[in-house]
Amino acid sequence: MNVPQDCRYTKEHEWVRVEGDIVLVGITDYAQSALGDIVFVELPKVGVKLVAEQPFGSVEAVKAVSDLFSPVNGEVVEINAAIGDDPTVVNKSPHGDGWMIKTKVLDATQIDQLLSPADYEKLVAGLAGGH
Amino acid sequence: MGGNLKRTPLFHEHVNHQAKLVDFNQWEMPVQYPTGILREHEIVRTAVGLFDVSHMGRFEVTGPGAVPFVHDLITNDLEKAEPGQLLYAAMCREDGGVLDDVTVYRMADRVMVVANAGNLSRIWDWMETRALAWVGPPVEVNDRSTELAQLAFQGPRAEEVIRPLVAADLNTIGYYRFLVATVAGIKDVVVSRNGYTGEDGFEIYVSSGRSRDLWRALLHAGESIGAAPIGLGARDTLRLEMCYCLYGNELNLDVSPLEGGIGWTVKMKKTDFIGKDALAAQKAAGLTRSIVGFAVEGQRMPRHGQALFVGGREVGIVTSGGFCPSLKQGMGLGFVPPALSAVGTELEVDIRGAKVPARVVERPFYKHASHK
Repeated sequence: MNVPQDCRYTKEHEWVRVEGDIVLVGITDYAQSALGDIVFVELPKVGVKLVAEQPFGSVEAVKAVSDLFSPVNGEVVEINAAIGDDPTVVNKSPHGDGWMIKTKVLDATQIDQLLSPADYEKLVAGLAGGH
Repeated sequence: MGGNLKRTPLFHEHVNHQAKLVDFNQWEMPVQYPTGILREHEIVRTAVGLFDVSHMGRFEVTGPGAVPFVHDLITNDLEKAEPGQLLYAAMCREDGGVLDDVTVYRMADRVMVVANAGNLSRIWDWMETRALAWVGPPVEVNDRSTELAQLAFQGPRAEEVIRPLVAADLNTIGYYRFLVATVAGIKDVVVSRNGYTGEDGFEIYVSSGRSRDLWRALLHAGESIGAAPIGLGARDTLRLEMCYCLYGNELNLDVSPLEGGIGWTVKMKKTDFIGKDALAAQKAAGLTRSIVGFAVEGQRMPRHGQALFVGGREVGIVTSGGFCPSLKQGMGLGFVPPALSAVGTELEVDIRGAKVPARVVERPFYKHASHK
């Protein structure tokens, strides 16, 4: 399971990567693997205000659908149009070309409250190894 | 995964192929391989794929009363079937509710009933109880689920791949016919031409002890054309495109086979069978719901359990739904009143709070299936 060190994570399996006053948001390698082949990603429009822990879109896989939860309060400044053409890019490169949105961050302290890579790895290990 | 899950004799093959394993009706089964559901689906539609379906139940009825006994348990007409023929049928309670949908093999000296994994103990109990109450010629019911493994080899190129391995002429078996032959050097293998994908292909019954050899022989024989193991995920998308029923979705204890879309398996001209009176009464009174197939607009997928609407009024429920890879579209099956079942009827599906337009379409969804 790939857990890049330059990201922070949510319990709902989103990642964020800070680039100046913008963050990129996507779903983790664990999430794409659990969902399987992704056929559609529903994303908000540019300009939409995001609220931390509230849904901002959804991921339709062949077998199931999953909501996307915003890691932070923010405002969408760009969406990844490439995944509209080929949603499987999220399966192939969840932390790279499969990023979903870029958002302006309204409260930078929220990023510090997200899971560190080590804590996220622990979370995922618990999900995989348990029961 | 819990230590109490059951495993098929082919479990280690799935591990070797790096399957993603899930709990399916208390069985630890491959939902997909690293190939992925979309590609696995395509392999079955264009070449050939191999499924382990050993989690299903195989019950054998022997004795002089075997045929009349099973005939009485099912909606289809086993007495009209010849040895070497199999039937798809519903097994109903007296009230017409479906206990399970089954395939029934009329063999030379016995009958084999193949039941869904989720209904194993129910069907076993039902058959045992009915055998005790049976007043016809003697019968004996045996559970051979552990002794026998069950494979499905499905795809337009299934026959060309398996033919060199089978010591018998496959041209002699048409759709829903079977033979018993030596396959890949393994004796007494049952090979039947049927399946759950819409493609030509075979369901194969082999002793559990030799099932690994047969699994490997089939994959090896198909290697040059890209044959691959296929998980339950693609099995579901393949059957949905064909609008085949799935027990627990379209069929249930409170659903009759007439409502569930398998009315064609109910032979009212049969002398008698369990559930006949209730089904005759239902037919006479008229159905209140029937299964339709529908296509949705947009890219949100309909899913099992969502409500169907017409003109703002709730009229039914989605029984199965999801992405159909061959059509690249979200499609579903669901119950609606018969008056709303005509092709072209406009519906709406409540997909997670959004009313999404949908339209009743012809079944099956996939029109190019290769089955014979």
